[in-house]
Amino acid sequence: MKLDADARSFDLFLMSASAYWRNNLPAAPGSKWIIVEAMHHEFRVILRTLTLANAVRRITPARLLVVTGTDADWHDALWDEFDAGRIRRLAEAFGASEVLDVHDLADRVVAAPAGEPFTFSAGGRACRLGAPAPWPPITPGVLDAYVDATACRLDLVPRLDGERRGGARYRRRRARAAAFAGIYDTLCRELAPIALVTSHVDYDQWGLAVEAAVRARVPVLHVQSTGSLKAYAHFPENAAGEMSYRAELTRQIGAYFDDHVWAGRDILGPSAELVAWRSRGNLGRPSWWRGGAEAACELRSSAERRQFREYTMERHGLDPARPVVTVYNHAISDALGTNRECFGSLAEWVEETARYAASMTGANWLFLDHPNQFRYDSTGHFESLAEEYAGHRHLRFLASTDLTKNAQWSLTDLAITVRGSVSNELPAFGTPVIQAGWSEWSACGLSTVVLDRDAYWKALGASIEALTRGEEVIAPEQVERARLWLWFYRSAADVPSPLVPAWDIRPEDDLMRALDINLRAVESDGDPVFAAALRMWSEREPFLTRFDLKARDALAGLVTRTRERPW
Amino acid sequence: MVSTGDYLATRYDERGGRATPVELSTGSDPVLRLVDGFTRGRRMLGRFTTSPAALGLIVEPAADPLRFTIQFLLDKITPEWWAEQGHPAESALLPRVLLIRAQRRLRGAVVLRSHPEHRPVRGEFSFELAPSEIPDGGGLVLLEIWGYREWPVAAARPARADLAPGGVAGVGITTLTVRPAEPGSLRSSGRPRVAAAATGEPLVVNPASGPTRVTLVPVEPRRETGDAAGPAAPPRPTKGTRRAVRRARRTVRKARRAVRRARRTAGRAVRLASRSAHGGVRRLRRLRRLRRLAMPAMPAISPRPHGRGAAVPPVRAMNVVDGGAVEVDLRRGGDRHEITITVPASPHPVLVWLDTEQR
Repeated sequence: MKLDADARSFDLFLMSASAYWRNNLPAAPGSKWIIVEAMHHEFRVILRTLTLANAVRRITPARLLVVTGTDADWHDALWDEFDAGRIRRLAEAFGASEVLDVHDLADRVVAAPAGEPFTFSAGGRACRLGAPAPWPPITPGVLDAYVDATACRLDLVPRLDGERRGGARYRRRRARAAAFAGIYDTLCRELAPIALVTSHVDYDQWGLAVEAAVRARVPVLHVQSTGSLKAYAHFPENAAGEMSYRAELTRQIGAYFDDHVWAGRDILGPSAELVAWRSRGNLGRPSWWRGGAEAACELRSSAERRQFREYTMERHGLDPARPVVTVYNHAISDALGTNRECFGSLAEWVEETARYAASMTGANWLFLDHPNQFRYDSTGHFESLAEEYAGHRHLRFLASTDLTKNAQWSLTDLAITVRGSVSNELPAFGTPVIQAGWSEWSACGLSTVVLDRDAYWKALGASIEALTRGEEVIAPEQVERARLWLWFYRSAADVPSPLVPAWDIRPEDDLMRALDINLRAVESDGDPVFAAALRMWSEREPFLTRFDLKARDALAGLVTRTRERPW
Repeated sequence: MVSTGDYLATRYDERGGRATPVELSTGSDPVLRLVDGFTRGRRMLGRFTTSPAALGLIVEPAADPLRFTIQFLLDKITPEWWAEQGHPAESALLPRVLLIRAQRRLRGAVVLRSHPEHRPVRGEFSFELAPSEIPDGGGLVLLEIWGYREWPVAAARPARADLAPGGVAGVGITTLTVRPAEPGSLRSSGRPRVAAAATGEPLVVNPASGPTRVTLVPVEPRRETGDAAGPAAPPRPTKGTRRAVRRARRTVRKARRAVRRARRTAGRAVRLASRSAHGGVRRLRRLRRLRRLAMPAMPAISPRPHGRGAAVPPVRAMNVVDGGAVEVDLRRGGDRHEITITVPASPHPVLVWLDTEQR
């Protein structure tokens, strides 16, 4: 487990946690189960899954089965330090009944002779792999999609060519995915868990657990690696038959946002303004992938932007007579095929967009690579694209960090992404965004979302033409919605609690100390995490919320009520 | 182009400017609204990370012209930050020509050069803005600092290899002041900062309404003070100066002893480093030579290459805005040691250097 704290402070925290949860969970755990994932290397991530699971256990008594483990591929590609022993101790301090190493189990499943029944022990019972369940099994196409996405991610490649797909490494990954699918199906069948609590929902080790839970109609609670405690929830009764967990979520968030945030904008406006002010300065880190002083935008008016833009244009040799379209490249192997998208892959999207841009000489095109691309691509995909279009003077290929945020925001007249967070950040400050796919917020009306290629090219062409004519492409409502989203994401849907100190508390000795003090010194009744989990759980809401957004009158007394609109 | 910036405002914004005089000596001052390629400092205004870079100030309009004065600093951190931009180590001590723009207009230039042992070197630049140039009710005073090699005109021509690339990166600003200008015409100036011309180091003559005369005086090698950034006046050795010279020499000797000690300790590492660095040995030799030439205190011509009776090397001059040649007048002083250069009136800075190649 990645936790750069000394052993003594970790031990003290475990002692406090153990005492806290002994007293704050139902005395009898009952016969129900919750499956909690602990397959990420970060302590902060596992702290969040375990805390949320325990909050649910306060509502419905249940035992915790913690699934953990890793394999060589995952370890080499992603983890700095994966200490299964420490994870086990952490889980036990949170009152887990059992810790199951599913990677170890998958090894045994893969090695077992074909055709013979395979049995393993979980939840105190013998579980037979592959026994029929009352829900449909995973379809081969869905399983293949998880294998491909995982292979791309672990190999750091944008797509699989024939050679890679035919290789031993891919076959090993495929066998392993089939084993995971079987294990998760079996756990859902045998334990009938009341919830799966997970930190991630993609790739084989996490995605197949979510996939099994959705088919088995088990609620999936999905904590976020940011803020205090943020979590999405997928309840089977809310599902509309979308293609994936993420697509279901997009739809539900959009509907909730319209009903309770947009509809409450008269009350929430001042709060949204405050969060917009904070976000522009990168407080709360909306640009989570960008650190340091250059993550803030310091421009505050059209006059400032216009002045600064002239300098930036000249500095980067752009044509001041044409609009600037900024294409935000993605981490190219990240969670492929997990939500609705226009193109077959993120690589195809950026390649096709570059080809289109080459022919659209009426605009300056900035292609900005993702700052963490080195963790996602080993093939030099962006560099070769840059080389291919080196002769086109109206196309620029830069690392995102080559431009400060001031420079990016002063230059960009139109931003293009598939699902990047720029699509909620830029509209809040007046820059229109076209999304070639869905994201968590894409149904909230902040950006132009297109789902087929014709519509994509048409939206691009029309926007560039309008910008060239000097028209404003973004609607005032989109700006207002985007600011309300910033508020919703960073305020309403982020639950602060002494149990989960803010994500950014570092170094980790400080985090251990803060946790230890909070667990010992703060009384537990009315903890915001417990109240939020109760509301989400009992009202089947798609996320944890800080307060009840449906009770608008009460809400008015809880949010900011100052400042006039400047525009 | 399209304005999308009105939505940049929030109800929580404050203007941040204040009435002159303003002295900015910390990066967190709200008058320093915007930085680009510049890291805000705590005990100084900050330090440039890129070349070019920009600073946006919120300045309250005034009825009279305002005078802006920037104090530049080169120190031991300068080469580190500069090298982070990928510049070759052997160029670390080359002169840096910085062009200063305000409200998109070039106001002048300064020449700065790191001390070979990276002791602090200071430079100053001032310019004035007319009341009409200060935005009223929204907008910045936008300063752009360009390295000569990045300046678009220079970038389009073959680069002058004897000027540092990325000249702005690593340079610090200790303070920036804005105060009412003294009555008189608007002007800009970089404090004359001319080191040994025999090294080919240029000097800048900033925009002026009439001709500018610059006299270069050789330095007696015995009159070293160890400060490479003195004012452009002939040395007048007084008692106080002699004491200062002695103090400076003691400091130099002490520093050299410290360096020798450090080198002995780190000898192996240094040897390894110079072997592994491309052209490492040549680089070390070059550093030694530059140190010798850079030691004289006064803006000067080293007497060694052009001793008594030696021919005066040709002077080159160039308008930095368009790269065009400028005709200058060159005269030898009465005792044949001095050279007086007269640069004609120019609305743009003129870069002047002795062409040692043609000596």
